[in-house]
Amino acid sequence: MKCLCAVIAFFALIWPAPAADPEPNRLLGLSLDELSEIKIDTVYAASKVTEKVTDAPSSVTIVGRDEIQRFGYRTLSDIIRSVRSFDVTYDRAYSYTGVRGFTSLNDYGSRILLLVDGHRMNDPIFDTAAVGTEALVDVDLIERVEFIRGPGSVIYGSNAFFGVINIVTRGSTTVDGVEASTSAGSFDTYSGRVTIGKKFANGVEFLISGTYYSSEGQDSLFFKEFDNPATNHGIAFHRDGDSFWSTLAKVSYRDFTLEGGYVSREKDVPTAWFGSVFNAPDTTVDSRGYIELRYAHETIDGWALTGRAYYDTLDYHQLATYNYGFGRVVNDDSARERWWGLEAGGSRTFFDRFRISIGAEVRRSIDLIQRNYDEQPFASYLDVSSYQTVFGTYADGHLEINKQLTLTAGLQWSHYDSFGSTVNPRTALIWKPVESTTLKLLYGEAFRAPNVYQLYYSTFNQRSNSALQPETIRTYEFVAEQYFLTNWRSTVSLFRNEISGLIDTIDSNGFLVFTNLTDAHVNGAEGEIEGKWSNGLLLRASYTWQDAVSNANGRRLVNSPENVVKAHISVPVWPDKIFASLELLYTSDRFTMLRRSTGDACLLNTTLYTRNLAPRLEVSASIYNLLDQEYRTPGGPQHLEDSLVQDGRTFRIKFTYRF
Amino acid sequence: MKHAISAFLALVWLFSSPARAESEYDVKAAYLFKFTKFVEWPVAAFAGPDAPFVIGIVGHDAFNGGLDRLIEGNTTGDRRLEVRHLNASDSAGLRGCQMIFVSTSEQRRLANILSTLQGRPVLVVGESEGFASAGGMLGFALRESRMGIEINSAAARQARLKISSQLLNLAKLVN
Repeated sequence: MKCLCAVIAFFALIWPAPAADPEPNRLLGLSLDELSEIKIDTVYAASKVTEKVTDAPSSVTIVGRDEIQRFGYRTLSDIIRSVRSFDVTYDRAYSYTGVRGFTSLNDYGSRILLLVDGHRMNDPIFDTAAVGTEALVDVDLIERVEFIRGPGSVIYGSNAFFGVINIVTRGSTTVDGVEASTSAGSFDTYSGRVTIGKKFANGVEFLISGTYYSSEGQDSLFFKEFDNPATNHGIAFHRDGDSFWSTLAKVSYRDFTLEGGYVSREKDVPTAWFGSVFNAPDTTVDSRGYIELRYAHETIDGWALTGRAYYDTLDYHQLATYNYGFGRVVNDDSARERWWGLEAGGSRTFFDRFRISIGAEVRRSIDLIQRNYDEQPFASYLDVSSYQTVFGTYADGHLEINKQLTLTAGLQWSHYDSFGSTVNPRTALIWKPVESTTLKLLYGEAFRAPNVYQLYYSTFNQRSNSALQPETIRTYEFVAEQYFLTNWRSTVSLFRNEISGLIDTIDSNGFLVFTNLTDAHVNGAEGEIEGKWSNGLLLRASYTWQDAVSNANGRRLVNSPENVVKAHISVPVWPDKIFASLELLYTSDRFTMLRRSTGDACLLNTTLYTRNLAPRLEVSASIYNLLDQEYRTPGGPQHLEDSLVQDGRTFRIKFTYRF
Repeated sequence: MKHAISAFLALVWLFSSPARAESEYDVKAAYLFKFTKFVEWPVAAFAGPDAPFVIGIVGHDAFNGGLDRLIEGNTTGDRRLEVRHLNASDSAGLRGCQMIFVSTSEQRRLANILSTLQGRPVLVVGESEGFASAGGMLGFALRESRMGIEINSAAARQARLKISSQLLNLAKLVN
């Protein structure tokens, strides 16, 4: 109710901004440059081909830089949360991405494929799709994010299970010089960024950027499960700090791009996870890097060819304090990953109505090392080196049966040395009876291979399982998209996901053991309506109903809200200069692992963003969780806490200056 | 479930509304109009001082009549703009245009179209992949969510058309 009042009050305050319809021939009045800047919704990652969103064999959402700025999104997880169907759960160490009623509490986002400029970010040991402060790309460097719902294994193999998220980074021309940004926010949070980008007359262009971020985090956090004198009455004091530095660089010349990135984040963990001692200085450090050479070329006879060669790294190091009964012991848990990969692909259209895309890839590990030991007295529990080689190849055809009807069908084959081969198809029938209406009928299958962590990680409190099989999913979806009244677009989607052999830990004689544990299914319906005007006014509201049920007991899955509402309003208070934006995120109650309810949550985030007010300067001021709602998300199997409190009202102010 | 059904019905209701979308083809149409200003035709390209400036759509009209509506009543310089719908084998029709837009449906007849117009001052614009490299003069190409242009300036030169530097700067040169 409070939520609704705030939305109405916001409208009342802001509404006077005009929402004039553009005259029909408005486009004729634009200059050549302006015409070339008009955005047409396209997506690359759905088929590894640039295509219009309405032609993609999936339900697709694009979030662009303008929206990121106007809504004051701080991390990739803020962006993901804003998108229909997507959800992120934060456990004060990592952020876990889920889709359509399925958000795991300990999978590091492994059922989502995360790409940066098409480069795979999920690693071999943990499959991590890092989206919180541990993410590699500073949100300021994002041109747009493509969200592709549903299985993408047909192109990408493993991890493209519930969806694919592709981050497209900014081109050098959007910087054209030097750009610097600094921000300050609640919990002594500060950040700074410097980016240099330039395109030279000879065609060489480059972009290089560095970011530093530091946050003290909450002074004290209360966890009632630890509310006794021996554990500081449940108060974790100064245990929520978070800091990272990251860099991204790329240089392009003609058909070649060399791109690299690195991030290193250190997070204090206040939750005493994995049975560690409460209020002890637990930390986790995650460093992720890659370097990639990319080739994209269009031949004279119409082949669009791509190739990639890359080298990736991940280093993870976690310290936790344990008490085995004879005093405190610091336990080190770490992983070192080095791997390389090659990808090649091509697509061509034949007879103007049949497009075929083919591709092949190989990924091979150099080092995959997992260690776990007690520092003093020294005791090693794990020191295992593993290898992984993955082959994949696919073919995807797109046939225009006639001007209105298109059929897409594809097949992907993957081979893993752990479990063998898997084949995954996807097919889509797209019907456009008129230019403004698109109907899509989609079917797909996908898999997630058991990762090296699940296959080979055994310690004093956890057991591996090398017999794990891939998780699989089949999805059925109907999507209807309708453009109407010049400025409006609506989408309706009905979906069913059937999931088999989900890998999760069970408690077996005091050990956490990975098994192909759960079969589940999700039925759901979504509707979204969006209006965009040329003066910048944006209105969007979506509603998702999702019923995610475990096949074993017929009960709703943990951490799965049945109803989700998202609404976004951005008003040009002073056209092209000042924007006021409000985001509403509502989720109905979720079950915790102990089958308790977390209650529902209604969050309002608001941002005032200005550009062009002073030359070259952008200022953004945001208040997150405006109503200071106390809300909780379920704890995972690694937590003793049944639910974890999330941040109350916080603020951030940010300045960006272009030199 | 009740919520889901009512939300669904509400959206279904919206579907019955009359529809028109600003789309890719609105942008392409606006570009075609711009090309009339940023390309210079020799005087000999026109039948006379009062002759209209003719844009021909060859093959399927992906604009759905949108180009006709946009151009209607507009002029370039002193000339009235006119849109004609042609098919690829209509040689006389093609030669009567100052600019033609070749739909994807006619891509495989591009070679014939080009030989029909060999040496004539007709700007050949297309939208298929690699149109400009294949001998067309101006090709639309989606680049990073924006409508980009590829120019084969040698082909334009042969047709005695002068493309302004402003347009050349914006485009990707393919020859």
